[in-house]
Amino acid sequence: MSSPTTSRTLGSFIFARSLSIGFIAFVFLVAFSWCLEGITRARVTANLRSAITAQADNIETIFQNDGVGELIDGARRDGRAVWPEDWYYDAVIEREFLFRLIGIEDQTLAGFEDLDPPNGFATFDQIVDDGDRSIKVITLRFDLSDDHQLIVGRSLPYQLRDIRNMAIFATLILTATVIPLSGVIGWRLSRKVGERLNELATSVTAVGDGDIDQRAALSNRDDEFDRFTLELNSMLDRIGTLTRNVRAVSVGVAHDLKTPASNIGGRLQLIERDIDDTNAIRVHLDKADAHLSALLRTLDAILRLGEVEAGRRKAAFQKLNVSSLVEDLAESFEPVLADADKHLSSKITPHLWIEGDPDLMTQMVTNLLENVAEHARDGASAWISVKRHEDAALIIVGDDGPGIPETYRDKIFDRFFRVESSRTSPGNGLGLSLVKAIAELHSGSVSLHGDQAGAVFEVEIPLTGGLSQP
Amino acid sequence: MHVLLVEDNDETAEFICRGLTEAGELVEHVRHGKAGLVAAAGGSFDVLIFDRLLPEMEGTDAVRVLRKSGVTTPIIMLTALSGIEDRVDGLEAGADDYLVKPFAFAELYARLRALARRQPMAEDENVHLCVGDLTIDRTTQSVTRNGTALDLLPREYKILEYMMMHEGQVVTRTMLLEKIWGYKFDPKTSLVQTHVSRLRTKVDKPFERELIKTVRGSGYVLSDN
Repeated sequence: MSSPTTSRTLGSFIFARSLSIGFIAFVFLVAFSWCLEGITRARVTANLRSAITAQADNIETIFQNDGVGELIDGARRDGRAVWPEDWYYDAVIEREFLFRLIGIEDQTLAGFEDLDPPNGFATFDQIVDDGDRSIKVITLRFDLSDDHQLIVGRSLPYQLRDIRNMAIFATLILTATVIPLSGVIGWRLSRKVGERLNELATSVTAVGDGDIDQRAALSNRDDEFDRFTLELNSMLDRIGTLTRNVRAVSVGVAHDLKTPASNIGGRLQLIERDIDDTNAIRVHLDKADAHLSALLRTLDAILRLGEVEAGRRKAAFQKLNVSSLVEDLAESFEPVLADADKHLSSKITPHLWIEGDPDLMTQMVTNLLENVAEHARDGASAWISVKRHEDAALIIVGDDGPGIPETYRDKIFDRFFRVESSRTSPGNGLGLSLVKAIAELHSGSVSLHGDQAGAVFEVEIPLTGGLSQP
Repeated sequence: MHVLLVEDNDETAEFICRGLTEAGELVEHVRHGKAGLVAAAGGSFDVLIFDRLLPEMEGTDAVRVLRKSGVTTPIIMLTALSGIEDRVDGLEAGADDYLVKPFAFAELYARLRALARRQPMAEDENVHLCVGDLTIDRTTQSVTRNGTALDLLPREYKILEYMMMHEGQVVTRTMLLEKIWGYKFDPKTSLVQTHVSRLRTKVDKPFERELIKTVRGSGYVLSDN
């Protein structure tokens, strides 16, 4: 496994995401401020137009009812109907109504002579204060009669300009902050995440390089990284256990095959030494043959275990009367156990059916009975029973001593595990592993009954289709 | 006994050929499945030995072809595979027996003899089987020796019946395990020995002549000489 490269911020997923989120936020905020500005402008302009129209209506009413003379008289300020230019600028700045009455040949009859916008509504920028600033003015120009034209107008409020300035300002501020900020946040975030991922990667690499006990450190923040780390660590725990098992098994296989193989080698040397002694050679051959059988039995058991654990046998499952199968085995093995000075009794509830492989079930029960033959004390009482327990067939094989020491109880189903005191007797430590594998293949389980004087094994296999069947 | 051996592994072939020749049997050896097929179809053999995995044509396929073309010669199949499906495949193809490598020559020879003898005997039809002064009645499953009725357990009866059907032939422990118990694995304990020993206590011990004899390293023979 290669060591992980240090995270490159620019290529980082988190950095890119932060930047794009920042950009989206920027676009949104800018668009929002300009929308606000646009809506305000539209509303203010509309209000102003209706005010201008109302003012124009008033003037038109006076013109229609009282005549142009009255209108001109009404417009007089300090006795002047036509107002001077400086008044005009003041009116624009002060946002007063602007007014001009035009007679025949463009003669200004009243109001500001400088006001000369096109017909209808018009908007223009009026330069004031000697060119220092400009103010937007809206005007309405229309014909009062064939000879008279009227212009009414007013400046837009200054707040509109403020709002527009604010929108520009907001755009500048957002440009200057949001995008760089999201870059910085993204960079820091990706650095942080990168660091924690690197820690995880380092641990994983170490495990990959063979340090099975290496675990990733927790930050104790109980965040998503810690939760992931916990998952990762428990996965590593399981892999570690499996690996240790595999190691133990390979060592077991090697040991179990080496012992008979070297015994055979020893016998071959003895044959060479006793080459002229036919009787001695015969003894050596018998012994070598026995060792070879043990070796082959171990190989068979390993292959069988592999076959069972791979679940290939499941396709050949059939309905199986486990009661009669066990009864038959009990009958067969009773004399075998009797020869080994163990006394087997059986108690079988008839007609219990399971779904299973008869060869494997036979092997399973045989292994348990052979376990009794090998390990129960001389003169021991042993029993085998089959009974119904809820929806399962319960097969119990037990003896009354000496039992399995408490310290070994967790391990007896492990491959090649043998209780120390039984190392000298024949056997390969695969018998109970096979029992376990077969029980599990049948969706069942095997357990060692605690608190008993002897070793009592209970196998539970689910029943099929009710208690009794034809 | 005229035996055809179809086996591509020279070591195994030599081991079998030598054993059979020394036992006074006539053996013909070919290496390939197709050659075996031709030889088996043309020759007059008492028994055929086919290896399971052969070049050109698998042993099971060869056996299937032979059976389809009406060859009824007993066939024993050899294999290095020990999975039970493999065994079932071989028997379904039409083989009469199945032996897993490695095996003792005595085991193979006992099975060959059993197969070669089986045909003319029409054993299944004989109601009474007699060896010396021992008689069994296969309908009532009663056993008498020298006029005395013997009380056998069902399994002991089955063992005795099987041995009597193969009178004078070696019956191996594995053969008994397969035929009487139907086990396809080798128990660690002396299951067969125990039952045969109990059978002998009943059949031989009270009488002068011993009918069931142990053959060292291979099994048992039931005979009157």
